[in-house]
Amino acid sequence: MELKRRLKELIISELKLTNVTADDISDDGPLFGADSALGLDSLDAVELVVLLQKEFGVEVGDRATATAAFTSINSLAAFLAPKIPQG
Amino acid sequence: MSGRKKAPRYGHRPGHRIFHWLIRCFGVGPAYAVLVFVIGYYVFFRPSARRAAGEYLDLTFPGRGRRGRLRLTYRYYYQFGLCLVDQAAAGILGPQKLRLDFPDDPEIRRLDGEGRGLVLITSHVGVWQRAIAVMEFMRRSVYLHLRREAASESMGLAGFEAAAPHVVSPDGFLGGVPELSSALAHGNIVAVMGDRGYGSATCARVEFLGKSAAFPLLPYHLALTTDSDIVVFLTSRAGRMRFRLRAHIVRMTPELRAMDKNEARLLLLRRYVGLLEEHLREHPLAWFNFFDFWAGS
Repeated sequence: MELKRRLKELIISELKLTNVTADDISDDGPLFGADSALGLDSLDAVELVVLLQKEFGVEVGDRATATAAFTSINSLAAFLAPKIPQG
Repeated sequence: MSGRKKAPRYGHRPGHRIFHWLIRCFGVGPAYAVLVFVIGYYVFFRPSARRAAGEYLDLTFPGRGRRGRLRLTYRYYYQFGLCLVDQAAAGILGPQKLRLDFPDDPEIRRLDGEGRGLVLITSHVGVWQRAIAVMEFMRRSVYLHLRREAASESMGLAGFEAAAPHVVSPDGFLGGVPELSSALAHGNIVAVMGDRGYGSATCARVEFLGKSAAFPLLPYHLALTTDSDIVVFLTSRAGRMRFRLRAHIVRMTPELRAMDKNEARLLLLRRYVGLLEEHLREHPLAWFNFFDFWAGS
C-alpha cells in the first residue's frame, strides 16, 4: 500500500477519528492546529509519536524533527520514506 | 489553555539584591524579618496581590469578614515569602542547605527496578523544584516540561548533582509533546505541572475546592499512551529551610489500560485533584498558584 494512504488509515484507526475517511485527508493540509481539517491537538501528537515508533520503528524525539515531520501527510511520508523498507 | 495571570510579578531587582545580600551575609533569619514589612506592603498597598489570592482563599476559608480576610491574605503571602527566601537561600548557600525529608519508599525503588517511563506530577506547593531532584537516584534522564525562563530561575535550586534536567518548553509547535513522549518511551522521567496548563494545553474541567477548574490532561495522556507509571509529588514547608515531600504512586494497571482513554484520563485527573485537595486541607496556605484557575466556571 502506498505510504501516504497507509499513514492516513493508521491515523484514523489509532487516533479513533470518526466520520473521516482516508480520502478526506489531504496530502498537504496541516495535521495539527486550528487550520487542520482533522483538528488534531498536542495529545494526539503523543499517540502519533508512539504510533510511528510501534509501526515503523522510527523516532520523533526532538522539536525540529517533529516540526518538520508533523506538518502534513506529505511531510510525514517524506520523513518516513528513507527510514523504512519500501515494499 | 492560555489563561491569564492575575498576580503582578513580585519584587524587583534591587529588592531581590537586598534579600540576596542579607542571606549571604547573615543567613535566612534577617531575610524572614524583612519579609514581614515587604509582605505588609504588598497586602495593604497592592490590590492586585489581594485579588490574585482572593478566590483561592475564599474557597478555602469561606465566610471571612474584611479584616479576617486581610489577615489571612497576609499570612498566606508570608508563607509564600518564606518559601521564596528558603529557595533563594538554597540557590545562594547551596542546595544541601535546604533539607527535604523524603522517606525511603520501597515502592519507588521498585519502580526504578522496572525501568518503565515515569510521569512525575508536581504542583505549585512548597519547593517542587527541589522535589524533582529527589528522583536523581534513579540515574535516568529527567525531562522538565516548563517555560525556559521559569526553568532558568529554578534550576539552580533544584539541586541536581549529576545531570541537569532537559528543559522542554511548552511553547511552540505541539508544546514539546513529541520530546516528552519519546523520553517516556525510553524509560526516562518526565516532570510536568499538574495544576497549570501552559500554552495551548488541552484541559478538562473538574471540581476543585467545590468549583469547576481547568486542569491539563497531558500528564495522564502521556502516562496512558506510553504505559508509564505516575508519581505525584507534594511538598510542604516544615520549618526553617526544611520541607517534607510526599510521594503518591499511581500504577498503570491492566484495568486502566483496558479503559476508554478519555475515561481513564479523567479518572487519573480526579485522583490527582483529590490528592491535591487532601494536601491543601492539611496545608491550606501552601498553594502558590497565582493564576485564574477557576476562570470560565
